[in-house]
Amino acid sequence: MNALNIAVKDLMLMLKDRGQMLTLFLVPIGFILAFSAAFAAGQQLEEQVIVVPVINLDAGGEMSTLLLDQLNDDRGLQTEDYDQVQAAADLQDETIKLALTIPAGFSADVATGKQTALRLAYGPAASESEVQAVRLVVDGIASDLSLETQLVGGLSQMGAMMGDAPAEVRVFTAERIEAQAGEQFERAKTAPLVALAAKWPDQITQGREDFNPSSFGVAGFAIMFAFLTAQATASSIFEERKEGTFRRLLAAPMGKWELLIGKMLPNFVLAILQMVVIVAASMILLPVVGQEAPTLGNSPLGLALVTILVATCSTTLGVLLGAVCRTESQVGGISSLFLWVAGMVGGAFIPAFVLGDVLNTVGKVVPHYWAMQAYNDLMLRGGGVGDILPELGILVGFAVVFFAIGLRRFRFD
Amino acid sequence: MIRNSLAVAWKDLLIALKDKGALAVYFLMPLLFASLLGMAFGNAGSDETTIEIAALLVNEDSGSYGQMLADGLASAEVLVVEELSDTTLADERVASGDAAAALVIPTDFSTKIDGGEPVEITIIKDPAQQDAANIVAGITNQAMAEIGMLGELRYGIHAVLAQAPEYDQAPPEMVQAYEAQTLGVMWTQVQEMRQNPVIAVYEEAVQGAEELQPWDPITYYIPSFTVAFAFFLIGQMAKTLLSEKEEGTFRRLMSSPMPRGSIIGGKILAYMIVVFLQVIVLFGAGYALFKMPLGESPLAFLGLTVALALASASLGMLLGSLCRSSKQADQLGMVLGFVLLALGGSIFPLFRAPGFMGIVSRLTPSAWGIEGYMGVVADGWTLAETAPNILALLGFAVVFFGIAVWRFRFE
Repeated sequence: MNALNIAVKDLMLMLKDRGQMLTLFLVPIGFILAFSAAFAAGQQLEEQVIVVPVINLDAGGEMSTLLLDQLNDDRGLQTEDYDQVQAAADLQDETIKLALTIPAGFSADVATGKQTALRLAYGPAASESEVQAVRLVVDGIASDLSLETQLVGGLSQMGAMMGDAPAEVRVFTAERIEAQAGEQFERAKTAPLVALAAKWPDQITQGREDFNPSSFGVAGFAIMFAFLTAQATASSIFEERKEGTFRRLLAAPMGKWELLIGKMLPNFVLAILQMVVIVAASMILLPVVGQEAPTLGNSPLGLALVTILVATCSTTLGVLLGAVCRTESQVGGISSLFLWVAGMVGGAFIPAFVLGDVLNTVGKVVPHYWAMQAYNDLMLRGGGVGDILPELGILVGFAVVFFAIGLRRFRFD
Repeated sequence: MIRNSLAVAWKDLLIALKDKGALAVYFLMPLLFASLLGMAFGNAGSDETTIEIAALLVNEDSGSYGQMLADGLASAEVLVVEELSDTTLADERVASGDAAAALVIPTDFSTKIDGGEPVEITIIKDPAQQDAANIVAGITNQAMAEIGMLGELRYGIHAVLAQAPEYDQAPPEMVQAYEAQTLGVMWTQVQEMRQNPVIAVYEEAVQGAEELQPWDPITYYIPSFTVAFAFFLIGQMAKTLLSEKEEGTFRRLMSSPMPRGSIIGGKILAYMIVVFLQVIVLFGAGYALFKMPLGESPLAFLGLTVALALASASLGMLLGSLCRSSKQADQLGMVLGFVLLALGGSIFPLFRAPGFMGIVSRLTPSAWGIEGYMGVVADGWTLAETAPNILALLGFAVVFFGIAVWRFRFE
């Protein structure tokens, strides 16, 4: 068949073009690797322990010891004893970034309910995020400690208020209150009164214990790059038109249809190959940088169908672009821009809720959005072909529309 | 020589800028990426957000605590809460992605809290919307803290009262009234204690330190994408260089009475000007649209931009001298551009990462450029503080240029 011959010719031309192959496969993989390594590094940075120099002017006090114990108790901080004068000097010359001061008489003040204050000083070398991180932890512990002591104090006050009442009603004695409060606070440490338990929907897990969806969106990238090949298709069409080889091919005994399909086939094959390679490579490489490999879900047929349709959409979009663009710059830079915007708006690498309502609605106009929905349903929600029929239908619709417009506007010279 | 170089530079500049596609790529795209990412991540930190997350609530509790939680959730601006009566339905809707998460309050919620027994609320998360679901969890945890506090208090009062000898004989209404009254008094006290905690925490800047500003993501994304796209120019530069050779115009330039240096120098100058334009347009847009600060040292800014332009242009030269065809140059340029974008730290500041990744990132000129601009713009670096970055970029430029000159073939 003539179409096949043309397809083979184009495919061989493409495969010989090593630069093109490099771009088509290595760039997305490299991108994903770098992105996920950045992700991992980001998580590492968040988990790094911050060393907090502490100037304890209440050494040996019960409350300050309690405070220090809690600060060091698995909250991402580690305290280090520091001398006051040394700390002031080190803050100035940027040896340390911040310092926490526990005032003298801290324990005594807290025990009697007298107002006292912790001071967190930061120097020129401090960063806002570090100071806030430490502040958050210190605030939390301080308010818990405050509340505990104030509560017992409050209950005791109640008891004092009832001091005039007859003995039978005088329930709120100091011992009872402290006993009760102590018991509750102890219990609260291991089993808080109200807790939140997380789970995945039963409908998805179907009772399985090992359901573990990855949170890193490989599908988004695969779709993004598959659609970028539309630009490669458009370029090759543009080149052929510019060099006049289309006209020559038309002089041959073959229909325009066959020519177009022959042009589309290699790009279709390449788009599919690209997506498969990207996902396969991610499954191997992501664990290397400490991320979870993407889960493939339960429906290989569904995955195959979506992949084929994404490739088809991408190819027909390429035909459309090749037909509509009149200059080299349009087919190059402007198409690229358009495809990147479409990818972003379609939610390929920014989560939908961050984009906001307006962008979300606009996103439904691009095929990327529907492809993402389909892949998410299959890979993250464990759905089957039945669940993605609407998305498949819409992708077919896109392909048909792209092809129809492309065909209509296509000029062979 | 200078006049010739300028003439060549003008020619190359015109060629570079007349290409509308190129303009789209080198000026619009970085602006677009920086704006979108800056707005997306800027929003997440600020108080006024336009983020809305759909959540479902199944409240099987008939007591007051369940209602308290429902009210707490309803008052969160970020959430759009819909109440359902059926857990299975909620599960299905989360499974299909209708909502990011569903919260289920069990029937014995209030009863257990009254009895001082630990109780659990379940959150069902959509695996495809984990970020959003985690935000719902965070808000729920906050609302639950209030309830936990109140519950402990009530239980405490009840437990102590129950130890009174007449407790069993007292009429229930009286007990309840008494408990409620006590609770009322205590709750007011608790609120007061919250406002005036015994232990206050103050933060203060030591002499010489400046007031900390919350980090504005735009001060990262605009520099990061400007630098990334400055390096995307190398493909364009190498491509035009090689296509001039392929079309024979290069030979004609060489046969003219123009010193060889001018031809190359002119091209370098042209692309340096494009980088300058990129910086002006992108930082200008950042300032105009997002009120991005421009730092306090124009000298540092200028020095950094000159160094960046030199590094980019010389890398372009290097690419042009190593590649064998314009097409190869175009593609390799794009690949290199992407690599520098990712490794240099345009999406995430990899150069700040500990360990291997951090070192690798610092091997790219982009990382030094991004760090330099961030320092000037966000941290008010002076020329002295920016010097290491400027020197690093110049160092890269010297190396690139050296290799390029060595390998460049003039035919």
